[in-house]
Amino acid sequence: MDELLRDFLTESNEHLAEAESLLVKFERTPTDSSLIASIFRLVHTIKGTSGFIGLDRLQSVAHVAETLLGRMRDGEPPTQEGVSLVLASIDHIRDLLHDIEMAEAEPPGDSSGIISAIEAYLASGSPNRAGVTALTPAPGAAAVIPQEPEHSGPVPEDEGAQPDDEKHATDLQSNDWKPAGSPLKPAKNADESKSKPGSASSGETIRVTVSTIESIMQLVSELVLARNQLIELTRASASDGLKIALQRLSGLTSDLQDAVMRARMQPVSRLFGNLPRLVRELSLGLDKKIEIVTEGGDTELDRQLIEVIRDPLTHIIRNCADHGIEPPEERLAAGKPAHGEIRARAYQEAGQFVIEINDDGRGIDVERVRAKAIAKNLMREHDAGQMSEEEICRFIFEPGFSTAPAVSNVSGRGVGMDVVRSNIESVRGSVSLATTKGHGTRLTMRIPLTLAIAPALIVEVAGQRFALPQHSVAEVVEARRGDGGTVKSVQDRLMVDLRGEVIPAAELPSLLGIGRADDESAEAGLIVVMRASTSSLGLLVDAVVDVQEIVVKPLSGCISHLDVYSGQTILGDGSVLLILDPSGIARRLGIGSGARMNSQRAMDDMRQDATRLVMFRAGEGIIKALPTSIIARIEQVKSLDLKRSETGVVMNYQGRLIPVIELGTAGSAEVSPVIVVSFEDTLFGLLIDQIVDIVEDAVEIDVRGDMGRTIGTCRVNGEVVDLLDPIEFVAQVRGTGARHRADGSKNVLLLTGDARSIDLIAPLVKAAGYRVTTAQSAGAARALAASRSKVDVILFDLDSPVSNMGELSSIDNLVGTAPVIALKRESKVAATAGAPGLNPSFTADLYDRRQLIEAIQNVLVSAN
Amino acid sequence: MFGIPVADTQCIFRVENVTPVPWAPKEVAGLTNLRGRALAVVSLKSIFDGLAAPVAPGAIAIGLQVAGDDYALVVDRVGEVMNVETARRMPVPPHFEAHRARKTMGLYKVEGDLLVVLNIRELFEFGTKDKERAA
Repeated sequence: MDELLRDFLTESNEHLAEAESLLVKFERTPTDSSLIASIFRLVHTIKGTSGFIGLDRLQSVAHVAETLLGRMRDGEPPTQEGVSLVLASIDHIRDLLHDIEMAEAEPPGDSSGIISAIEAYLASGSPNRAGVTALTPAPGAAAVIPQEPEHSGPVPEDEGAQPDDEKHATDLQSNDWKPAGSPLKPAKNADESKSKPGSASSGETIRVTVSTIESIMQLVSELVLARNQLIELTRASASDGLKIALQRLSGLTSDLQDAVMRARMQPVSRLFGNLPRLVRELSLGLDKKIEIVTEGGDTELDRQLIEVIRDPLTHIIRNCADHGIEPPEERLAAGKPAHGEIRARAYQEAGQFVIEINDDGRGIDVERVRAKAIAKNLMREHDAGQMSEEEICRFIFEPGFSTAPAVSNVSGRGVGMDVVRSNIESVRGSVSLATTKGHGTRLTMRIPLTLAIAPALIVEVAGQRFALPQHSVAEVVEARRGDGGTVKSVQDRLMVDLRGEVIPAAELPSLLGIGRADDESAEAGLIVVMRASTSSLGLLVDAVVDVQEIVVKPLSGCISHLDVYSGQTILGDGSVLLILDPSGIARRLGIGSGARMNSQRAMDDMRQDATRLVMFRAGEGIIKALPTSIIARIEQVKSLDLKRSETGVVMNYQGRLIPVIELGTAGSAEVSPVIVVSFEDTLFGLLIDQIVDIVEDAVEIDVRGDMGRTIGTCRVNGEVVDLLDPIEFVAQVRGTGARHRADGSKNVLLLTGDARSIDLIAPLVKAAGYRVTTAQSAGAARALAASRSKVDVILFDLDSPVSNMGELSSIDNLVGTAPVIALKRESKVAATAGAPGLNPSFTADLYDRRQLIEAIQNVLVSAN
Repeated sequence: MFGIPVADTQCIFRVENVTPVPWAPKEVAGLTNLRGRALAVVSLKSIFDGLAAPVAPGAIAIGLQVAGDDYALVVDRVGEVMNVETARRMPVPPHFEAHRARKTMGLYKVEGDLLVVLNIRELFEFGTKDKERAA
């Protein structure tokens, strides 16, 4: 291409960008005459040069724009319409420039559409003029209507209504809008190719093509590799002189690397530059008053990364404007200023580049997100209670997730946020969201600063080495297996208990399909805790061999499709290593937002060993405990409200009378706590003296109880506690009760899908003198069958059968050997229903504990 | 006996360390380092019989570049460079199995033997790219 033309195109694009942002600023501060003078000059230059080069069509458009700007420069107050027209002409010019660049000549056509629109406006003479018809595309012209591609069309359509014009004109004159807080810096020499002297001050510059910088980068990467190799080779034997020289070389290489990296960095004001206009158009289109404030525009980021952020940033701003900021009336009613503010802030922190977008709008309705997530089966209702607000907000990044009540042209279709997240994650960054209802939302994007060279952990697994990018490694801990250890096997999968937080884990060898010599080595080892976007993952490795900076290279073509690797590298010793990608690995394991439910369930199963208990005082003796799963509520009841009736003590609970069993020595207290127990359709209260605590702990009965209502005495959280038998109370309320005991050598397997049943039945059967193991799924049952423990009796819950029923019948050790007792609770479920392959020899009523224990005894006797 | 146009080859060398790539297509034995560049090690045998073939250290390989990717094609033996008259090239026989036919450019009669000239552009098509993209 002609060099003159090329330069013209580059410069004109720069001028246009600058004119655009100055224009939006000018619209808000029409008294600043220097702004309009600059804008005029910029457009004037384009007009002049295009005429000189012979681009007549371009010149004619620039000419009308210049005329219009001239009027504004001469003192005519800018109207919204006038500014919109100039912006439209800027877009048109930009499109023409693009076409010229592609074809090296102007496209055919005459741009009469935009030209006549502006001429009509000019002809009308004053701000209050006749409505302008919507700009229509001129025949044969390149895209005339000024729109950003994804943008819906608020601007031209609005022009039609005359009253609006006047209203807007008056608004501007009344200077309703505050001037922007921090001035936008026009993009300094903003272009794809530039080289800077090094510091932030604008000194002399020269233009350098992108490919030159890229090849320099490439060479520097190779240099780093060669230097690493040299260091490796001379590590053992080298003369002092050589070592000193090498050290100097090493230092120079690092400095060169830094300098070249910096050459690719550009201030993020490039991105911020077109935000004012975007926000302006959104404001107009949505009928809201929105301002944008930017901070940290001179923070720098690698050129490539800036482009990656561009679209996500646009989308997020759109969301803020559309869903976040309320219409003026609503804001005023809420006591906020009529103007909504969106603040975009960029800064560097800890090796990362951070962009925060804050809005002071209505915030995100977390309840709505929660409900939507449940409706979409992304989580279970019961899990929702345990999630923090931040975790629930992460669902917003799911594909197709939108709690917007109506889909507008601007946003609401639910296709944006997941793309935002995947774009940012594709460059190893992360997005997170925080919100306060009624006050606003903050979205934060973080991106690691260097692309090509990154620090990595070199890990060894089954004799092979891999690299793990350090930025995604949270920590490395020792792996311990077995009871009390950190790694546990649950439901055929590995989990890691990391200081109380339970995360999914995987063994690299099995994941990658590498064989392991012997199983012993699986016992020792390390867990590398990785953070992959929203989830954590523990990778079991044999050892961490080294930590070093590696040059990240893209994967070779024939393996580039494998998502478990993010690249490959050559170490100083010449060996080729694969770089593992935690997101890819997580995906292969099925972890990651969509499959969160599975890990959630696994975590539940893991917690199965621990039971949640309420500890309380009631009467004499030690603290008593009950499992919380059967507790509906703990009420503070006035003694006046406890009525002694013929049938016993009763109280009013949510509109009905329920029986109350007095456990405590109350009566003197004015107000006493009552534990309201709900079990199936039986509701009753337990009057106690005082609640001590609610804890979660493994329940091991040390001393079995003699008294009817105590299952046994155990240690909970360091306290000696009597574990009460809820069934005893249920029976009491219903009028039955008694118990039996055996000698503790027989194993009972409890198969149930309901955790509460475990709470109720297991302690009972244990106290009756049997060993109890539980399984909540066929997988767990299979694991148990595969282990050495023998099963003497199977208790099968008919009302809440285990999942994967069909698989049970195929478990050899299970079916056919042990006798089965089906448990039901007065349900109409037939005894054999839901238990294919398992033929229950007996059906016991869950309420009738005596019957259940007797059944176990009988069945064992007949089995011998 | 197979032939590759000399213009398409970069070098001939002995492969030392091969880093296996779990989950890679069977034909790819792994990656190796040649003067600072990582090459994908593929043995000609596995390309044709579709089975993974382990590559022993010291195996001889031909360095090639196809569509921007670097490969080390492991073969049993490398013979000499010979000139053939393109006019004498015989078309791919119709009874060749489709998979092999695709990777063949043609045949030459050379010193009483038949030389199969390989189509290197097709040689490294393992079908994975299309499968994965489609997924």
